[in-house]
Amino acid sequence: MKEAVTVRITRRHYDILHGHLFPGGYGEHGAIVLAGLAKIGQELRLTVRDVVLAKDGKEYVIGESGYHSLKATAISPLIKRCRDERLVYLAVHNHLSDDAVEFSDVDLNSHSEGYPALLDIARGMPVGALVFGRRSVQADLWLPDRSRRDLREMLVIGQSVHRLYPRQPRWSANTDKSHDRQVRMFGAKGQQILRRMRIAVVGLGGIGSLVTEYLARLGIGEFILVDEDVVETSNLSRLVGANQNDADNRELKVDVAERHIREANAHARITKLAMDAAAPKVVEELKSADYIFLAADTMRARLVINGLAQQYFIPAVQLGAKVTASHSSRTLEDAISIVRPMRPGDGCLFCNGLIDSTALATELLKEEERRDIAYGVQEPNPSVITLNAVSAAHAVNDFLFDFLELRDKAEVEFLHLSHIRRRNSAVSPTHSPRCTECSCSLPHSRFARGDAVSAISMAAFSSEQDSHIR
Amino acid sequence: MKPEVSAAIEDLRAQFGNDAVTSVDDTVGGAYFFIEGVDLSDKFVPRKTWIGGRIVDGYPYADIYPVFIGGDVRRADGRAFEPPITAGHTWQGRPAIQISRANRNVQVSPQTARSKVLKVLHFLETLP
Repeated sequence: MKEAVTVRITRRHYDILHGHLFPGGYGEHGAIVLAGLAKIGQELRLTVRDVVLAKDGKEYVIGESGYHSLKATAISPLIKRCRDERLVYLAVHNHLSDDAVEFSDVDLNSHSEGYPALLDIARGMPVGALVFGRRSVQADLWLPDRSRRDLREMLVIGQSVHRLYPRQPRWSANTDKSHDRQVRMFGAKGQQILRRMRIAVVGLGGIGSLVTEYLARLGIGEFILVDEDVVETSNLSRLVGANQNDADNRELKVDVAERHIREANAHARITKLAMDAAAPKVVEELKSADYIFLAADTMRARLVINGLAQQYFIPAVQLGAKVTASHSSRTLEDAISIVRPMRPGDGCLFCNGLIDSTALATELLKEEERRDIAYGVQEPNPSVITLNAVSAAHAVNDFLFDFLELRDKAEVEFLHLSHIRRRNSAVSPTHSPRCTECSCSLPHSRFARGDAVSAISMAAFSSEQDSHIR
Repeated sequence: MKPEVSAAIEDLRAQFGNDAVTSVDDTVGGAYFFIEGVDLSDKFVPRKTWIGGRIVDGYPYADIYPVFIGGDVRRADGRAFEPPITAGHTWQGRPAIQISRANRNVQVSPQTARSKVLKVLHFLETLP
């Protein structure tokens, strides 16, 4: 079976590119896109790392044949950069079409004439072209063996996720009766998009169990469930779907979540991984997720999933609830529900100081080492189902509205909901050009690199080594 | 030992001398390191001791925390150590003093094992 080609691009890069290609008027314009490459199952995913606009009349010119083309002087440094940084070279131009677009014969002939030579220079990396209509896009990707692939879909990833196709796919009007009331809000197309999605929930405790409940009832087709823990009696006040028998039998939380999902959605496909979020096997599985809900409260889980969001352009969200109290006055200082979206290139958990390097280090010590270095006894954090529910509902709502395009472009913002102050605050993440994870300008950053660099995972949590850490 | 950790050990050798630095693979991607004969300044007795720590698999995102020095070290002025310096530990089979100095600037400037050790030595040298 041939691989399906998909392209993922940040909203910022897309707006720059689209604005250049369609400035108004009827002209044709050109650009060059450099993209990371990842092979994920049968998908060849291109993640746009850089967009270089070609100056009309200087770099994008009318040639002797009477048709536009990119000048060799514009191509040469970029194809060499692709070779050195393991990126895919994509020449871009526009046609003046709307919902459907395809390459002209002239385009395809020029690819046949030029791309074999570019493949030689690219040394093992594919090369190709994108042609944009106003609301459509097509690709002609040349693989190193000179076979060619066209495009399945492009995702434009900001807070909301916009889909573009070579031509609009047909959506069936048939939906399950159990979803009738929600289909009246987002339509049969929206319901089918949900059914086709593969969603990961990392951490199946108080927040993650609620997230899986909501997703199951919404009709998500496929789940990746990640949690290594078993049910304990102290979980029952907030672990949706669990009962005393589960605690007595020390049932795995992934098994309880699976049972609970099937009560609402018997046909869901479920992959259960009863291991740490940083385990190499988990990281490999998460690469194929369409969206990741991060409800595990460890620094290593944040680091790993933040990295996947930046490297493979997987939209994700980190959820939490935090209760702070004054030990001296024995009063509640605050109770906060937290929702932090993770999107490629938009400021990340790492450069916003939300992955504490010292906490990360101590998490990775052996149990006896952690005990030895501790100054005092670690008490479990407070946790209350209602605080968890606010966080879970906000995050799943965001997912729904963003993935089904039920709202216009929204800004990426961290949401903090204080229940003591009855105040909500939306904080725009800072974006550091020096961030090793999300910067698109720092050479060798993780952003959009796909398989060119290793995804973050931790050998200490490989299943055969797992006992070593605990 | 993952490549970033090996490189960090080599960097320590470049700073403190090949013979002074030894390392032990922690079998899960990281390593324990010891640097013998570091100079703590005349504020301490003995003045020279070893310093060590564990570089975990999560390096360079993860701090090197905590760091240990020889368990026989005392302040030359006779004052007792106060947190974040605590005596009476055993680390990798050696009597040790624990120094719990966190690196809060990983996002601003990527940390290295060399800079971590130098910062801890500077912290000790400039103790009031």
